[in-house]
Amino acid sequence: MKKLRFRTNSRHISQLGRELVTDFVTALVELIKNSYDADAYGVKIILDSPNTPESKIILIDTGSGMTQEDFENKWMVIGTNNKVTEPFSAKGRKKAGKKGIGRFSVERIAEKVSVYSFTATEQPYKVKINWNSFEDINIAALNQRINILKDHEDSSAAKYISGQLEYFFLTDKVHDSDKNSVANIIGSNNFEYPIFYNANTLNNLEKLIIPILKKYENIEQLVEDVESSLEIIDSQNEAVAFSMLDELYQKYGLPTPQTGMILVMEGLRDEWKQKDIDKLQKELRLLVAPDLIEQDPFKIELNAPEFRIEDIVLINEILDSRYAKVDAKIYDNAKRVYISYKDKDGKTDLIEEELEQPLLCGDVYAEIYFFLRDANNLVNAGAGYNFRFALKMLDTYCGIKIYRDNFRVKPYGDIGNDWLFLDQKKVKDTHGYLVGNNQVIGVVKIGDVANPLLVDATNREGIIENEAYEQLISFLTKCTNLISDVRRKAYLADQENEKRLAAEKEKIDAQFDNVKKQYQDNPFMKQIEDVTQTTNHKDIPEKLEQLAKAFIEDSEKKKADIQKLQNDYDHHYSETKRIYQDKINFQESELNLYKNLASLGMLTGSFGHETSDIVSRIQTSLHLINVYLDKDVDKNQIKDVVNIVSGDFGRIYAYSNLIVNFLRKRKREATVDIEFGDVLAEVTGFYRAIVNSFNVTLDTKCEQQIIYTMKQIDLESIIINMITNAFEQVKGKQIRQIRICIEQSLSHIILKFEDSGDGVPKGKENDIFRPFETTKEEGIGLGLNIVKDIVENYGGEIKVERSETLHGAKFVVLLPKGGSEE
Amino acid sequence: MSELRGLFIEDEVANIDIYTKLFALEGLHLECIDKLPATLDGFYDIVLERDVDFLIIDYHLDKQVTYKGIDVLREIRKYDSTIYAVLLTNYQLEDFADQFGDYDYELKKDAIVERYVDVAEKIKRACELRKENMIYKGIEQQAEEESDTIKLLKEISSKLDCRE
Repeated sequence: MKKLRFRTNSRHISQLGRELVTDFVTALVELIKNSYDADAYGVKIILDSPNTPESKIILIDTGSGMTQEDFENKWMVIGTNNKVTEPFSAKGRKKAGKKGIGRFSVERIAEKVSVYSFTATEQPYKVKINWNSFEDINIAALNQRINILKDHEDSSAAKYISGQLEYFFLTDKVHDSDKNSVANIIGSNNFEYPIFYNANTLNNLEKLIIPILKKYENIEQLVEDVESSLEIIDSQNEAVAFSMLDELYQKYGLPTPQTGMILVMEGLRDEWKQKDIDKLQKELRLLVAPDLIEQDPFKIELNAPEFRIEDIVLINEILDSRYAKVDAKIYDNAKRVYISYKDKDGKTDLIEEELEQPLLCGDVYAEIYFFLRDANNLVNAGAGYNFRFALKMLDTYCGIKIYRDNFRVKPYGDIGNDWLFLDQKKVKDTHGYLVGNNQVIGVVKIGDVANPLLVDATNREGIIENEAYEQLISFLTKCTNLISDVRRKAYLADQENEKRLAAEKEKIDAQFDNVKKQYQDNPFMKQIEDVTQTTNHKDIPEKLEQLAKAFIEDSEKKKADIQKLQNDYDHHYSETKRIYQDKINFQESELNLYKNLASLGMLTGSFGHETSDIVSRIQTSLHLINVYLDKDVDKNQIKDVVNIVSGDFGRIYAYSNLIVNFLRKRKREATVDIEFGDVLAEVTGFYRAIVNSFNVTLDTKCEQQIIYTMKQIDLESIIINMITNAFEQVKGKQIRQIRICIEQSLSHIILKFEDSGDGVPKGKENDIFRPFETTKEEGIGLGLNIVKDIVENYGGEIKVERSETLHGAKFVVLLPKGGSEE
Repeated sequence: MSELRGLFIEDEVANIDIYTKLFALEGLHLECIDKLPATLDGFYDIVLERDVDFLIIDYHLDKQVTYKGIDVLREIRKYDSTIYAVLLTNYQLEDFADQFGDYDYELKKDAIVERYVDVAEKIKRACELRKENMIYKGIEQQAEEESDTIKLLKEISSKLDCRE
């Protein structure tokens, strides 16, 4: 009997890496989780020369390192997952990288890796792995990449070719003569991927090299055929690695022996952009619960000079800006409940309960930080960030998250996940004291041991919604209700305060009247006159002196009265200002929301009948199809109607996309760096289908890399209002054109909106920006006013002139660079 | 009775396709105007040229022109008060009934599926009535003309009698 066994082609290593870990940021986060699992106190990530041939990521951690045996028998054996058999680390941390994909993450990130391991029991060692050794020749994919590069410089295509050729040079399955031939054609066997941006090199590759590679297309290389060597190192031959680890130990004052791992990943596969760095920071900050940082420190340090990040230790300093904090727990085998509230105004509250029946959810610990989303409360001068950044942090990290054995249970507390129904209730809040998801950062700590009835769902997305889970929700609702309750009381106290201030104002006014009257009724002049008219002239000086004394005393008294009045008034003014400032801030943000909603309203007004038209047409079309099917008519007739329905769905989809996307909460609230080109493309992408159905052409042009810090909804409001305005002007006209151009000068970002309408009549250039100013019978006259408000909010201006090319109106919006900073 | 022909005044190609097919189910043939005229002047001439039995007019014509369907109806009514006209709308017009008469009908597009059979019947009845009216008017006119002729002949006859 012949025995058969499966064998594994080496290319599966790369397939597994790139297919299992599709996102390179997630891949890096996975590696950092491994550092956590190895009980590291600190981990440092250096992103060095990204987007160049020399790009590399160095990860240094102070964990326990990996023994040679573990490296060989666990790390290098695909399919083992020690995290299942050993769920806790030596220090008791619940291991994070459950899926055992750390090794593939390394492959996902870079083409080569050097792993340095420092353990307490063995000599340090180093293993170098070149993932290109595991590739195989794929001619079809190579030809595809060549075609891409003929069209434009694409780094991922160039890197792919480079990787394939490196494999060709590394594998012993290729004849040396062929290797030499290829090296001669390229000029070397040691090259960097940008050489494939060169047309001649590409031509040589296609005409001369591909035929040679083709011979090896079918060679079979098994995983076990590829070898990597392990080398013992010391501080002499690997001084840099030793000093990197030492630096981290010195920084945190950690005890010897210096154990840990260093991964040097060279030849990054992906282009790293600012958004990836932002995502990385966000993911890393959320990796561990904030309070965990205090109890079981895990310091993550990031160094990416190209992105102006130098040795930043990631911490959640937003918590320092909290208005209130709730500490809560279910304890004593779930028989007692304790919830305490404390805010920065010194208010406190406490709930303590002893239960007859233990709660099924088990012992739970929760910390909830509550934030008031206004400039007074959120700015943290100590941490060096402004209100906008604070809002950004809050927007990014808000929500009450569950941590099971110190790691996140998703999706609880994710953006948009309202598992405690906070936002649902907040919608009905008319007085502003209910707690919204974007006002809290919370941590709920549970564990496999203490909370056996809080069971993960089988798809690992969340917890099964059983009675224990309901009790957990009920407990946390009690916590947020406590915040609301204190806030409600504060609200009522504010109301009382307002009444008190009004009474105080009346009192001050009365005092003022009194002082005024005293001055008006001043008898002094009359008394002097009486004295001077007296017959006894000898008494005059004495009486005058008495009068002068009385006058001085009276004046002093009046001065004191006025001073008191002034003090009372100052006090009253500052009190009133303090109370009303919060209201003004709140109303301003509400006003902004209403303006944005008004933009949407005008958009709907402009296209509302269009959607009704489409809906009625779809309804009629479906009726027609039914009738045709009953009558058994020619299929082509049915197809015609189906085509119309399909076109209508496209239109209505574009329209609903525009509305739904416009209203997204993040766009309304977060002030972030906006790429104008992307927003313009997105808005006009949805809009174009609609205006085109009116035979209106919408041309857009935007310079690359125009980035500005603002709320995305504000830019969208500007674009939507200006297009709607232009659309109304050209609708029904012989020539119907709208043109948008965005460019930048040294000092400004310039948005130009031109149309082929009638233009603005002379003398009306300023009037059109007034509210309710409209030339259209059914117009509202708010669009341009809203745009002007938004633009001026960013310190910019808007003006109108005649379009020289389209002969209608030309609106020019100027946004000053730097003007959007706080 | 031969197939009735109507003029469909509409700016949206998809509406022309669908509603033409819908009314065809009831034996009504709709013709359309490829490109609506820039102004209302001469709209009635188009109706005369097409020699149609009834009109279907969409209220919203803004894909092609700046005037509305109701303006078209007003223009045609200046010259013809009896041709049956259906105005298609997306929203109920407030004072349509006050402004127009028995030969004008407002039909909301979202009710078209449930109403079109009735509307087609109304159109047919109205066209029949209009035809009868026109025949009747023709007979009346003929009778009037004939009585005028008789009167004239009588006058001639009496003058001839006098000479005699």
